[in-house]
Amino acid sequence: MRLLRSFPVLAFCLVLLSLAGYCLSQKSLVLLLVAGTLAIVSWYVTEGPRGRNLPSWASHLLVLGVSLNVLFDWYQNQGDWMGVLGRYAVWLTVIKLFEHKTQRDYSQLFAFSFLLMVIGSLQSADLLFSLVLVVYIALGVYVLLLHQMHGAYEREKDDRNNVIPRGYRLAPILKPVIGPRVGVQFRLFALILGLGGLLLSILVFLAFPRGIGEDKLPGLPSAIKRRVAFLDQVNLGGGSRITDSRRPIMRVQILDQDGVPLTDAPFFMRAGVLDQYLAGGKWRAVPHEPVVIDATANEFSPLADNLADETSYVVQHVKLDMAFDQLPSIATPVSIQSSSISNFEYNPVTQIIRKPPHVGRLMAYDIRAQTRPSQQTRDTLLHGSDLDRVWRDTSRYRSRRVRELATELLSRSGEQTSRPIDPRMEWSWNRRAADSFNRYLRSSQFTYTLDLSDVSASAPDNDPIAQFLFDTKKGHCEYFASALAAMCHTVGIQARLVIGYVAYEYNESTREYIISESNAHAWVEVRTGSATWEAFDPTPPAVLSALHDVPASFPDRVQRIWSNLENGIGSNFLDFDAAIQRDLTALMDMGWTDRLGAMWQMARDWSRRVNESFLLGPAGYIWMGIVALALSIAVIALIKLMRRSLAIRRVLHLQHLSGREYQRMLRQLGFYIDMLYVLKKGGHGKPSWQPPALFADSLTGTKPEVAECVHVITDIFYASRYGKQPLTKLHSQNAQESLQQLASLLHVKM
Amino acid sequence: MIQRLRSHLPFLFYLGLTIVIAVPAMSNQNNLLFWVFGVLVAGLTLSIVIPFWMLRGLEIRRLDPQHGAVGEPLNVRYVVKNRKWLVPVFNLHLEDQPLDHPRSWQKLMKPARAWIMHIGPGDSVHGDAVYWPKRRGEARFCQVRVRTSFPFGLVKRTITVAQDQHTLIFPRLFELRRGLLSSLTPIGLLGMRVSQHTGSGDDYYGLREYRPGDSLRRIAWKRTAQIGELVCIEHANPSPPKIRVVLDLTTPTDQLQSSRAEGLSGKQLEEMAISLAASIVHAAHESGYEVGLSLPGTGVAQIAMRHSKWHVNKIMAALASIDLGAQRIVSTGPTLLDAERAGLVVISPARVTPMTSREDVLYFTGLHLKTLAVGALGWETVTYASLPAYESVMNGEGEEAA
Repeated sequence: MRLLRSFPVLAFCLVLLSLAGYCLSQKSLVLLLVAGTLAIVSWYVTEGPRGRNLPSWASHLLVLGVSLNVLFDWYQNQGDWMGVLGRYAVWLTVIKLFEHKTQRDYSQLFAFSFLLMVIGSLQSADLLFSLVLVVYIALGVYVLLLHQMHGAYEREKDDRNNVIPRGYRLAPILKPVIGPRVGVQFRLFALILGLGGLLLSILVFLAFPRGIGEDKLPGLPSAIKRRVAFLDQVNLGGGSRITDSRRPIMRVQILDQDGVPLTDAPFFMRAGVLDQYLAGGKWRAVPHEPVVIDATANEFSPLADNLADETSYVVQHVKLDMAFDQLPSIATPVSIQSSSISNFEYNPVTQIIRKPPHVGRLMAYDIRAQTRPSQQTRDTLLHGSDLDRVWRDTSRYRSRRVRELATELLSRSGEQTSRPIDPRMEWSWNRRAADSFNRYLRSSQFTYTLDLSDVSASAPDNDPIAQFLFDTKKGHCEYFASALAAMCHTVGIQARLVIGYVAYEYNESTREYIISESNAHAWVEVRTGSATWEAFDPTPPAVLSALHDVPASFPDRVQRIWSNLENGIGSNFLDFDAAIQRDLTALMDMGWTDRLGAMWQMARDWSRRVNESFLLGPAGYIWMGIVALALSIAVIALIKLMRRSLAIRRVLHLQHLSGREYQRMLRQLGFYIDMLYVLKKGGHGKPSWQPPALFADSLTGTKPEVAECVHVITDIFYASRYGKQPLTKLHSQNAQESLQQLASLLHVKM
Repeated sequence: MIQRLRSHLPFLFYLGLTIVIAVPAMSNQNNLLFWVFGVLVAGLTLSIVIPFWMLRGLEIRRLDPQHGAVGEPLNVRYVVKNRKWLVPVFNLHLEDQPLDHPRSWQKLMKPARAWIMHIGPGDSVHGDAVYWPKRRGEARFCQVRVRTSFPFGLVKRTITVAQDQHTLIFPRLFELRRGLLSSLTPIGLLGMRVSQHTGSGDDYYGLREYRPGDSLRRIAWKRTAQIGELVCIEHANPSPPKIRVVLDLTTPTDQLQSSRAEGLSGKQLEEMAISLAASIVHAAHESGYEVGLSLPGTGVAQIAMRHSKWHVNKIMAALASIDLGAQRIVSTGPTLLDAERAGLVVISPARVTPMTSREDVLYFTGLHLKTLAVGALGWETVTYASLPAYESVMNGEGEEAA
């Protein structure tokens, strides 16, 4: 039979898919090539023309070898226990593929393949792996259905052979009993089952409460925890957020006060301020005390009270495609609005807005920002923060060699080499000094590159900034910005690293800037006033423009489509969290909660009015409750009575009767229906084709006591139904007694 | 009809797996794992719902099983109709439930199952359970249990349908030695004799007056010439040879002298005697004999000699129905007609007791089966040499003995 014969092939495909999925999740091409090739060879070896299987002793030996290797692997990679487990499962699966496969072996193979996909799910969230997982689940459902049939067939064959006494030369062959069009119906059934399962799984996915038990198992790999697009740190010593990925992360529309889109790119969007330097090229944000902004939905909430000059601003509409904790903004933000979050955290020192940590993902927000705020606005936005104290308390970059370079640059540009004593001179000196450093870094001595493969990971003196300034002289924007901030620090200028994005790519059709991961950028803010910071970007502008404003080539466009797809799935599926769940619930509710609440309130009002008009007092509510209960019981009883009448009419074929005879039978012959119910519940249901008397006779052989009761009831039934004799009280009593006896004999509760 | 939901080991394993998947999903807030968890929950839900859905609207009936015979397959056929108009049914197992009754089927044979892979909507299919009876007797069936664990094998749902039926398992038949039957018949090899009825044979029976329509060839011309009116010759009806088998069960089982040398109990000797009687009846019928049966000691009325398939089945049914545990009726001995012109074979389980004054009676005991039988009929490779051990298997007295 073709359906059953297709099982081994599909089972093999399923296992192969899980191997491929696991290798994809690990991004291990070598493992894919080795394990995949061995798996494919196993098919030829076991199912090919010669059809040989691995002897059990050999497979045991191989398993032993693999287990020993796993112990060694475990000893070497103790932190990566999930990877060790995955590799172990891969090799066990491959060995299993070479063995003779019974139903039990197939079950074990499926278990291994499922384990591989689960481990893959824990370690990867790539679109490709997600697609493989979806195909695996779909194929898995079909193969499991076939496995049931195939297993049943094999079991039945074995069982039938076991029943045959030893010594028989020939036994009847087991042929599957099938109806017509079994293949079509099976596939259709599998399709409907798969769709039903998919729907149910999505429901469970959507309804499962998020946030419960988070981080309870710290040992699990966290590679695919919720993806956050932005990390507020820079580490020149290792790892970087600077990437050439064109995956979109947000779309921004910038409008002037009249609602006209502004297109004079580039815009710098501040997302994080790193004002603290740690050793080894690490920049961190100082944890300042935030100000909580209570926001009203769909209404701009100012970031400080009594903000003056609110008329001059630009508005940015931001739609986030990935999860952000900090909300990127151009210029100086003064107010914010969002439809889904009721409060924000505003950092007056860095002027960065964050969503509170307990709040779920934010999908969109609007910010009003001022490009040139007044001094009063700047002071108000500070919320009384003391920037000088912050500067004093913050660890900064120190290096004698860099200080000498900075001093030399200052003297070369004719500036005084130390900080002016007069505070009025300080801010302008800061600006001029930073400008001279900026010019130096933009000179041709320094090269912008993302390829730092030839740069030693361990910088001399654990100082990647000095390495950049004196040795390599090449790097990306983080290096340039770090070098500028570092030089400022060494001569006592208050400077901080700003990380964010550059908006270059403008989509004419949607009038939005599309910001990709590759638009990540870093620059420097230098304090040039009591509450004023001025931005300096030491990255060569030509390079920056060439890097970010690249016309999309065909591969770029393909990559963009893939990225969009990945991003779409990522945004809608992988980043699904409690906030989206709440939004979805609100969307699905469609006002039903309010409607039900209103109905309940109406009922309460009505009962109160009735109570007041009849002057019943508190006891009136009890009486009304009793009346409502009685009405409910009456309705339920009426429904049951109607159902019983319909059952009597259907079972006893009373359709052709009418009038008094019909009514009499409906009234009196309920006991026969009860008898059928008791017999059915007791495992002795009357076949529809068997007449009542014959059925009663058939019970005599096996259950004489039951048969006796059935005989009594059947006789009364015959007399009333076909003899047309109205039941007397005695008959009814006899029937009821026999019915009770029957129920007790069959242990059925009526 | 009783419906039951049964879980088993795969269900518990699956439940454990679902919980195991939920834990890292919650810990990591991993949406891929949340979805996999959703798929597992969906699978569990469907595993509970679908079998219930499938078993609804099924009409199950066991067809009247024809008689079986020891050592031959007995097909019990079930008719299952799927009354649902849209939903097919997959992977149904049907089996008869053991019955707490002295004549329950499980005393005669091992359980067997019918498997139906698919029934389309509105279709009706037949599924066969092949039993292999080990003992003769009456097999009573009562409840049919239908089970499915489709789609994922996690949950078994069963329904039980009551249908009381019984069938008879005939005794084991053996092929007898060549020439045995001819030695039983009193009159030569031909065995045909003239009956007392007119018929179409060749033997002369008598004369009668001519009737319109008689063939001219049948007119006895000489006699006609003598008496002056037309007379016809009548031929006698040919009669096949006859055998009456007498199975003497007047001696109760416990009073039988068991054959210690052969290691056989009284009951085994009786069973062998029954098998020998059945084998002789079968062989005689196959050879064209008229066969009759007497069962002294059992209270069963004497069965006349006839030659038909139906008649042989009647004799086999009588042999199958013998209850060796019942009280023997000694007083009403067999009324064997000395004048009955038939071969007479008397079979006793252990010791031969003369039952008639006729001299041409052959007496056998149950043990003679070993010498008279060549081998079991059917597909079996059992020979008479291995019979004692095999009979003990038949009686359920030790599978190991075989």
